[in-house]
Amino acid sequence: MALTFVAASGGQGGSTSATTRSTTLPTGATTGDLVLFLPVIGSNGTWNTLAGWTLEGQSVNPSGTVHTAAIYSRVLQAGDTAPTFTCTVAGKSAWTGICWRPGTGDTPRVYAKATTLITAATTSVTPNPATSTEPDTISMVFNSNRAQVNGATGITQTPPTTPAVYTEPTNGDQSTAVDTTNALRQVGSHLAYRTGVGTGSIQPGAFVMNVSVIDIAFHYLLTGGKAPLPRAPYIVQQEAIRRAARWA
Amino acid sequence: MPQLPLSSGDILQEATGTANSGSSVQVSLPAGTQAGKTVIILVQTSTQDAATPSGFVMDQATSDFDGLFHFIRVFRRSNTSAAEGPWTISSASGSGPWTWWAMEVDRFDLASPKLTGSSAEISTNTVSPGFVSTASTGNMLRNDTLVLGMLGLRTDAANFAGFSFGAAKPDPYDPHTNLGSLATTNASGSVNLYGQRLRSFPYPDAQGIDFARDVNEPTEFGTSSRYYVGVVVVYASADSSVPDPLDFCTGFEFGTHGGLTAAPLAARRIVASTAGTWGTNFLIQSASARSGTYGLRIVQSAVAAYLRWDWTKLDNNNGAAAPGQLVAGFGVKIVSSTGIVVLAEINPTAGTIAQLVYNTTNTQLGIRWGSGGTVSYQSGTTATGTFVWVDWKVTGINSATWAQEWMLNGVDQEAPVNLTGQTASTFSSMNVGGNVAQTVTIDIDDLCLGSRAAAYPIGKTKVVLCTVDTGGTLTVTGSTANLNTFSANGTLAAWNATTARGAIDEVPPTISTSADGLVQITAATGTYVTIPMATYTLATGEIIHSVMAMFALWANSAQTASLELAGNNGQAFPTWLTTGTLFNPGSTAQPASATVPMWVHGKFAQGAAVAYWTQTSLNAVVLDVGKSNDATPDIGIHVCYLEIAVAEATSSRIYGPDEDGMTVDVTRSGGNYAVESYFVDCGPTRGATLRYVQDGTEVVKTIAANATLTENVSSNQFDAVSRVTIEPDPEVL
Repeated sequence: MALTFVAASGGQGGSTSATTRSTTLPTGATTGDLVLFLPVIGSNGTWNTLAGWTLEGQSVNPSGTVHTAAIYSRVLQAGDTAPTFTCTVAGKSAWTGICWRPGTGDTPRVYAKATTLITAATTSVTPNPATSTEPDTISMVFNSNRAQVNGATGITQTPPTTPAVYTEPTNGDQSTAVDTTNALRQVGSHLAYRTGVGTGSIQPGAFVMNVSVIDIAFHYLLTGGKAPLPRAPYIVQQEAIRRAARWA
Repeated sequence: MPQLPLSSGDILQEATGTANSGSSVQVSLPAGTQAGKTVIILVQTSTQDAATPSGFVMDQATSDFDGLFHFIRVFRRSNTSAAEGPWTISSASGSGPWTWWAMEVDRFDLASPKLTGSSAEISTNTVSPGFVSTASTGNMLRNDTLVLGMLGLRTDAANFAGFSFGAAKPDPYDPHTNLGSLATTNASGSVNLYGQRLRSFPYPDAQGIDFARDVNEPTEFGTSSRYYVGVVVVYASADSSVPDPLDFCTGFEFGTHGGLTAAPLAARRIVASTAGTWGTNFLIQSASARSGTYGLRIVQSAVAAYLRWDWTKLDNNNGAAAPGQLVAGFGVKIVSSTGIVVLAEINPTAGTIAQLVYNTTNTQLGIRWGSGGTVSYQSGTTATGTFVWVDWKVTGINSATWAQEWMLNGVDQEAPVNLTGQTASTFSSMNVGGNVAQTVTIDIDDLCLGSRAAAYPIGKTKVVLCTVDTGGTLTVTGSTANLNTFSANGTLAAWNATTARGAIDEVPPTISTSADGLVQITAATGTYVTIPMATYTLATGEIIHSVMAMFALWANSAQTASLELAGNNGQAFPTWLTTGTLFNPGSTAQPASATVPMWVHGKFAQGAAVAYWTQTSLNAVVLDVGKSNDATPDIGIHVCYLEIAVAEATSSRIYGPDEDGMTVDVTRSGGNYAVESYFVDCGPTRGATLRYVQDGTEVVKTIAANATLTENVSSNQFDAVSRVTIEPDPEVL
């Protein structure tokens, strides 16, 4: 059964230079929901692991003015509160989060990823494709970026409409902006999704930014389907099948 | 990291227009300009001339030809004020038609952005004349450029509308974008103009460029006359890489402060001036080395002490006007400190200084305006006892808006808010140490200074010392009878090349009663010795920023004498120090070099044909000493060295670790930060696919779980790799 969108959340800490990034859970998020966060910081550091949360991936784009981004995920447990993420190096930051609700008996998870560093300044960001193997797959694009011009104008994202429409939920478009100390290059955290993508290579279109940026585009595929079998039993099973075939 | 290359996003606004007639044309952009930008106007006209608008300069123009009036001219206005425009371009006599293309551009070099250009005029009445060409520019030698071009046609043919420019002339370096056409016909219908605009960025360095285009002429043109004109002009961004970017560098590898207390020369000094005492406040010692053998220690104990490098005494300014900016790069280590201490200052001729400070309590470096400005501290901390590389730039000193940028270990840091409303000044000097009573001990090494804004960031650099090639042979031009070697600080001996080589190879120089060296004893302007220099072999990813040559001079008594110092690196314009440049090491200002040598420290400039240093040109370096026109007293050198600023390769993590422990690291070459290689470590769980796009071509590599990949990219410039993707294998279902 497919995942169902619940809500998104987001914010920014443009006026502070800190190593921590507090968040809020998307409205309505509850036990059993799959929640993903994209914290972005305008420094060259490493996002620390956080107990209970899966650090799906993290990347640094050192081209131009540096920024560091990570994707965390967790299937919420009873009593969970909004996480605070920590990076090893302080900087201004922005973040977004999104909540997906699985159907009964589902095991929601991220099962495929493509992380692309856009190292040339551009206003058009096209993530690399990822391969969908699950019919209920949701394609999610998390764009982290840093403006390549100084200014107090925040970074805003316009999701693509071709070759398919990606939906940017409320709160899914965040950037540091006017309340920065120095109006130096802004940091953005954005997300958008597309449901019902089917199987095969999923190629998102171009996300358009209002200012020239460098970008880290996390293209993740989510499913609510059955859980993967552990790798070792799978291999053992294949070997057993081969042996059975040999004796047949 | 360097700022990113110019892109379409840096064209803030643009517009085109035509006018069928008139002695002037109004050029306008959709909105008024922003402050500090650049406006470029390309105009084609068939009137007698097109005067340069007020506040603009003309960067490129075609000539009138065949007695007809048909021009393309390129006008530029740098460092605009807010809300400028529109502009009127007038002809002193005559009337259009006109076609024009105007744009406002961000991130241009505001001082001298034009790198090169070319123009051509072609008169023909041949059907389908083939390619028309702007002619090729010279090599640009820099990346990150904006190339603009315009081709124009004037014809009296009646059926003008059927004309168009066609495909580009085949050219492997032709990434140009055709921007469409501009066409107009004047009122009488007797003159037609057709222009096509072209644009490209960035452009490979070390290439010429020719906007050659095919033409598609309608058959109605027949054999009627037509006149083609074309221009191409290449502009550099503010961050365009520059060859040979340093005006000064030293790694203190000469190993002594002997001679630095005096200031014998008006310029070409190692240190321009000091406030403090060598041997007490300033020590050149091995314990302070960041690279090589020696570094500089500055010790302040409730006193002010600093070393100063100023524009008028830097080695290679050659009388050039003081710039409006300074770019610095150096390694600094905090040994101990108390309170907030000043580590370095960049001083304008008049106005507010810029300071690099260290906050002992917070263990943070920061920069500020003035001694009381708000400090913009680094993100993170800098512990004592560890070198950190500082890149620092102050720009706009010659304008109303002054700006700072800085990086630590290659990472951008927040800078103070720009100073606005300033009185224009110029760069004057840079201090290392504090011009204030304070208690701090620091080590400084590998100090690099550049006067061009585009030299920023200099990037992690080590300054390497090379001596005479101890396996080479000194050769004499002229008579060896005019030369001697000396030992025991004045015992002369007949010339022997091997002895001479051994007398000038020590580091640091022997300055005592045991001093040795080579010397000219007879006036002979045709006699000099050529000294082969040892070289430095570049490691993978390293490049040479710039090279300095330095000499410790010696004279047999405290009198004035002349000596010429020169060099050659096998290039077209190799001379360092023009012929006839003389020095007076025995002058009363610097007597008795037995106790302190006179140091001469100058940039090994590559002459008019400024080019990047290469391993080949470094290997070819020789130094020349001699040509004294008096040799009274006997005059020569203790030692001669090269100081070579070598930009170091850097590595950084760009992906991971993720949930499976997968990581990707990138190694970039020094100076231009071009990608040298990627290193992928998949970790034990999943394999992955690495993709990157190099010069427009995607490269795909697969890596198995529990395996690593070293992918050598060896790109030649910063922006050659445009996107990098890591795709872990999907989970097994």
